[in-house]
Amino acid sequence: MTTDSAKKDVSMNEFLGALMDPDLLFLRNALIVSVLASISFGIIGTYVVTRRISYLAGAISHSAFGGIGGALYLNRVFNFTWLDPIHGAVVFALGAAVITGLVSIYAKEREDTVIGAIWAVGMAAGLIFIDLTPGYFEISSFLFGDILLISSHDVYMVLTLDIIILAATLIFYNKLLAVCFDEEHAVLRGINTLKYYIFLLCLTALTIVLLVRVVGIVMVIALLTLPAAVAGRFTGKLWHMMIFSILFCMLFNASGLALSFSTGFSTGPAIILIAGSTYLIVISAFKFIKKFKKVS
Amino acid sequence: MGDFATIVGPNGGGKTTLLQLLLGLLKPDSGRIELLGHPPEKSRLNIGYMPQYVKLDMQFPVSVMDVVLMGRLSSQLWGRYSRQDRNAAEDALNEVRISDYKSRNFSELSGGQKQRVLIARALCSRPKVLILDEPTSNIDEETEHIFFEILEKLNARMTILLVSHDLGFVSQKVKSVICVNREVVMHPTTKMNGTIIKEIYGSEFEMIRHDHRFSEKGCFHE
Repeated sequence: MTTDSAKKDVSMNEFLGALMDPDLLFLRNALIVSVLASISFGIIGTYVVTRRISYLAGAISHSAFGGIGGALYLNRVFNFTWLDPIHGAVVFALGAAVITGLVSIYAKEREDTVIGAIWAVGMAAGLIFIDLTPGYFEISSFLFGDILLISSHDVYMVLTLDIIILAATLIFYNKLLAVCFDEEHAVLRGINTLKYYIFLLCLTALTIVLLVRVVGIVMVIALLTLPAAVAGRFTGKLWHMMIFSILFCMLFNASGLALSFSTGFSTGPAIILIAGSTYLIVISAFKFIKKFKKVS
Repeated sequence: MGDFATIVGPNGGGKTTLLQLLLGLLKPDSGRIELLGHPPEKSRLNIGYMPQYVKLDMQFPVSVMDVVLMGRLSSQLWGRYSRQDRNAAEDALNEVRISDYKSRNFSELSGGQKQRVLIARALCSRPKVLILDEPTSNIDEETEHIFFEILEKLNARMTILLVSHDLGFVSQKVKSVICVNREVVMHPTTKMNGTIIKEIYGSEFEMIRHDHRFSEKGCFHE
C-alpha cells in the first residue's frame, strides 16, 4: 500500500469514526439530511432537467434569500422568536415558484427578463432586511451552506418532504410526464396543465429550501441539476433517471461531506465540485466512446 | 367515410392559428366555433392531434409505449393506465406499423418513426377527427408513401385534417383543400388549378398533376 492511499484510508476511517462520535452529532445529522434529501433532489431534479426549467429553479432558490432576511428581521425587531429563517425561505420560495410559473406560461416573450428580475430582487430584499436588523449575521452560511446549522429537527423535515414528493410522483407520474413532454397535448386530454406545472414548481421550491443549509442558496441549483444530468446519460426512461439521480445525489453528498471533513474544505463547495467534475468526466467519456465507435 | 382535407398556405398566413382555434387552444375574438356539434373545449377529447415536430423536445427520456399511452390520459386524479389503455396503445402502434419499437426510447427513433409514434398517440383515444400539423416535414419520400397508405386506411373511419406548407403533399388521397392566407377558402381537389394557387401564394407555382383520381368528389363551400 502506498503512503497516499494509506493516508486516505486513515481519513476515511476518521470520517466513519467521527460519524459515531456523540460530540460530532452535527456531522451525523448532516450526512442523514443530505442522504435523505437526495430522494427529493433526484426526483425533482429529473423534472427540472427534462422540462428545462433550471433557470426557474435558480430564481426560486435565490429569491429564498429574501425570506431568510425577512424572517431574521421579524425575529429580532418584532420578537417573533418562533420564526426561523427557514420559514421565511419557504414562504418566499413558494411565492417565487407561483410567480415564475405564471410568468413563464403567460408572458412567453419576456420570460427571461422577469425571471432574472425575481432572482435579483429576492437577493436584494434579503440583504436590505439584514441591513435593517440590528446585530451581526454571518450571511455566508446561508449563501454557501454551513452544516453546523443542521439540527435533528431538520431530519424530520426532510423525511416529511421525501414522503410528500414520493407520494406526489407515484400518484401524478403519468400526468407530470405528459405535462413535461408535451403540454399542449396534455391540455387537449382535458388536463389542467397550469395547475400541475405550478405544483411541480412548488415542490421544487420546497426541495431547494431543504438543502440550503448544506450547500447554500448559490450552489443548490447545481445539486438539483447535476445528478439528473449525469443520470440522463445512462438511461432513457424518466423513472430510471429518477432512481439514478437519487443514487448519484447521495454519492455526491456523502463523498463531499467526507472530503470536507478530511481536508477542512467547506462542505457545499466540496459537494458541488465532486458533482461538477463527475458530470464533466461522464460527458467527455460518452463523447470519447462515440468517437471511438465511429472510427472502429 | 370522412373528409380528407389539407390546410395549405404560406408561412404567417394563419394555418397554425386556425388549428389552435379548432382545438380550443385559442379563443376567437368574435364568432363561434363548433366541432362535432360542440365547442372545441368539449369535443376535443374526440380529436386526435399530432403536433408539429419542432414543438417537442426530442431528447426527452421516455419510451415509445409511454408516449402512445399519453393519448389515454384523462383528467381523473388517480392516473394509472389500465389493461384496456395498454391494449388500445398496442392497437394504435400496430395500425401505424411500428409495434416492434414499443419498448425503445423515443429519442432513438428516426424522424419518420417518431412521427408515426405521435400519430399512434393521437389514434389511441379512438378519435373521430385526426388533426396533423406538418406531418411530412421530417420524412423522406419512401416513408411519405407508407405514411399516406396509413392515412388512407384511417380515413375510412375518421375525418382527417392535415396542415402542410408543402403543396406537393396535396396528393390524390386528399379530397379537399383549405387555403389559408389571412382568409380561409375551401376547394375540392377537382377545382385546384394554377389560378387558385397563385391567388393564395401571390406568385407562380408549378402545378403537379396527380392524375387518375382527380374526379373524386369533395365538399365545396363558398
